[in-house]
Amino acid sequence: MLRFSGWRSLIWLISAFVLVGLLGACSSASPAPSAQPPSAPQAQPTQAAVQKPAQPAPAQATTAPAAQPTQAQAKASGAGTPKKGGTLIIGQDFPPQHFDPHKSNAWANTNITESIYEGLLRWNDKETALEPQLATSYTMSPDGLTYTFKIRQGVKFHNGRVMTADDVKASLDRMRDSKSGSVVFNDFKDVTAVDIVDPETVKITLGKPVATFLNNLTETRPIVPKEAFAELETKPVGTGPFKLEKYTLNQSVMLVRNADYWDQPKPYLDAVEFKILGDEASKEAALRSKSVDMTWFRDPRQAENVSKALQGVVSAPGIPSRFINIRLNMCQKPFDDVKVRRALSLAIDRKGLVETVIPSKYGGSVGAIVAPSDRFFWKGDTMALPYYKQDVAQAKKLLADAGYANGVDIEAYKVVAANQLDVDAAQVLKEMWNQVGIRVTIQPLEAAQAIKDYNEGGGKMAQVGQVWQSDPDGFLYNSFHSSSPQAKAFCVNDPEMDKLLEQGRSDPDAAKRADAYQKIQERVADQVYNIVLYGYPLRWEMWWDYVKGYQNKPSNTRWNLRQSWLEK
Amino acid sequence: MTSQGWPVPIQAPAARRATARPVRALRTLVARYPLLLVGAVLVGVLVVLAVAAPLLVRNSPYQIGLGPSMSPPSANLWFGTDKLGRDLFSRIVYGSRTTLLVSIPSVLLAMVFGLGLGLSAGYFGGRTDQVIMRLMDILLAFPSLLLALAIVAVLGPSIRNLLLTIGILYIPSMARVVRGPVLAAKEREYITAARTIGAGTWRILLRHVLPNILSPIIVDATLATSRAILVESALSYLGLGAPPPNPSWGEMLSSSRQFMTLAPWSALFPGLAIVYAATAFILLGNGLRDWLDPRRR
Repeated sequence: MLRFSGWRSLIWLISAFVLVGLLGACSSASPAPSAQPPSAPQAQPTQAAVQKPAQPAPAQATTAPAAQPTQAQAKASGAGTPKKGGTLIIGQDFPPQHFDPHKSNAWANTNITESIYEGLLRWNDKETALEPQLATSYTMSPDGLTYTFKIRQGVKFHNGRVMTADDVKASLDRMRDSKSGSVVFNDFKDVTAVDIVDPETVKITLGKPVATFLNNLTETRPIVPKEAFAELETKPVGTGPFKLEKYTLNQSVMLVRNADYWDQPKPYLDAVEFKILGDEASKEAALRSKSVDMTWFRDPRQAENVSKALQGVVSAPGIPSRFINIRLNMCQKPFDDVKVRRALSLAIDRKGLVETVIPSKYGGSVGAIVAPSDRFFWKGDTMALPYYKQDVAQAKKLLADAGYANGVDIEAYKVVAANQLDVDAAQVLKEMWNQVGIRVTIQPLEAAQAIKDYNEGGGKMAQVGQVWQSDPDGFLYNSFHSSSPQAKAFCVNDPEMDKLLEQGRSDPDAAKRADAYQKIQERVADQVYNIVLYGYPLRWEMWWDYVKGYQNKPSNTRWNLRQSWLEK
Repeated sequence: MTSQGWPVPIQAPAARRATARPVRALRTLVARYPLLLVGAVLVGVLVVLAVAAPLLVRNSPYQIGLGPSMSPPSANLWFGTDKLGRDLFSRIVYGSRTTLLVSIPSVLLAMVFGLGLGLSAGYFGGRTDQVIMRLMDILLAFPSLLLALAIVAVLGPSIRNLLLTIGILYIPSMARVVRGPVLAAKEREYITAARTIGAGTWRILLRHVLPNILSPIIVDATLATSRAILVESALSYLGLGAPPPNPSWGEMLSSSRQFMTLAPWSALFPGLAIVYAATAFILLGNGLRDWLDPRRR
């Protein structure tokens, strides 16, 4: 390489020059936020600990996921008396599609609408048990077929009218009617009737016991006044602590305090503004300049860097609530053959993948088909799941046995272009599969298209992130039960799997449910219906320490805005 | 002896004249059109980088985990590593291949179609002219990046589609650039002469019109190449360029954007590479324009 020695010295010179420049830039940038004193409080009891737990729902009888408290829950929510007033500004990544809570359960909508609407029940702060919200109490019949709810009295909608049992019935009926445009009707498909017993009592009757039924009654399935149904998309009316003041398309959502809120003196803030700031870099810039008080980040590496650089920012790493998985279309060659699928799984160095894309120190972990933060997550070491340990020789052998001794080409491996972590993972996998002779072509797509292919079976393999839900039943049943459209689109037809899914859905015995979900995770890995790559935190939240009373929740919903105040 | 002044007094012995003349001519050229030299050298370097990429880099641009994620520039990894621990220097050198592979063929494509359409429109005139030029106007009416986004979104991202997209994007401007000189040239005496002696339409177009209008087209093509590089980078930045793991400068810039404060080098070097390539072709284009323009001789 002697020929290039002149070249090399030139490069050296340039990089030295650049480095000097960078050092200068860094040193001038860091002392900026020195005016803020570092956050003092170390470990106070959080407000959640003070609240009295309500009767736990039957589905939540199993123990809470172990070791889940995040740093934030210790650091956040400083003590002191709440102060009224002020506007809290939040850096938001996606604009909402609309404000009708029954017609969308997209993350971009719900993390705003949950401050506007409320359900009969709510999750506790650790999201391990349900607590009363618009219902003051409920009872379940011994056979698990009827639920009777006592409705909270004197709750006013944003339009000034008092909520009645009529509204509860109308809302539930709207949600379970697929013709109303509801996207959640499947959650209520076993409901046979909703009856008003008296103005304070509503009775829900089910056709068969559904262990997860109560989970469907929280703020993402809220109660709305029936006269507002038609215009909810643009004129949301709920019972929540904030009401919509103004939505500037793709720029900002302005919520103002609901003066008639039933749980006085909350909320403390006069207004909450969600500023829509598309990409990660602009959210970071906005947080640094304090043009937003609170935001969240998707890549933990960036988040850690921001939290180190900014004194006075409360940093709340999320829990691993999202997992990335690749769905394989088994209606087509070559994935109709389980040997090829197993070869695909065996070729992956899962630990290596995690360490490259989202290192374990940032919350990455080898995943299973249930989110790591879920109480039903695989109990042992995920690496013990079938076909999880990398074995290149065995993968090659399986491929040869399946008739692909010369390897196989997969023309489209679909990933969401906008999600950099997903694209990173795809590139690492491509190299790993290359070693065994599986040659994939990565096809980055717009999110909507990738999700459509993932749900409807377009193409051969599509990779999408799956977010933790209150219960694994919905996702697993829709994905793998032979009666569901999604399973049909991917040619999943497995009687053993169906049996396990039924058991998970309806068995009243929590231990048996847990057992079913363990077996489902093992079966998915064994049959390689999906390739689960890794789990990691969905969002890493951050807010300036003058925002008091706020704490992040495991699902990263911003429920706690109602108990936050500003001390600037 | 200086190379300034024209004509240069010729005093060299006759024996040396044969070798000295081209050198001297070149020197004169350089002295009169310095931009041309600078542009040619910069583009030359870029081409050498692309062609000799495997000889110039030590590490594969695809190998993951060569160094720690986002490590700073070092003796072994000159530009540091990207998020997946790949050698950024290798990726930038190989990225020149993606850039040239997309921009040059796409401009050639635009040139071929633009020439065909522009020649027909200009030479035949009348209704042919109307139809072709209105079609070109329709294409021109769309903002170029928006049109590119739409085409890539329909075709799906791949190097071939990227090339087609950028090609289609530059056909209208190329056709316009061709049509003007053709309109002027077809009224000239030598065309009339050729027609009188019975030359066919094709012969007239290819042997008489084309050579006389070629210089503005070459200039425009060079400048279009620099614009094509920018469009390629922009589309890659938006995730619609050459699909990963193909090294592409725009994609590198985009994926390192959120780590600007953590690892500035990962955004800086791809950015500089884009600036370099675009500048090189602009300088070359301007140099060619000065050189080929008869009024500036």
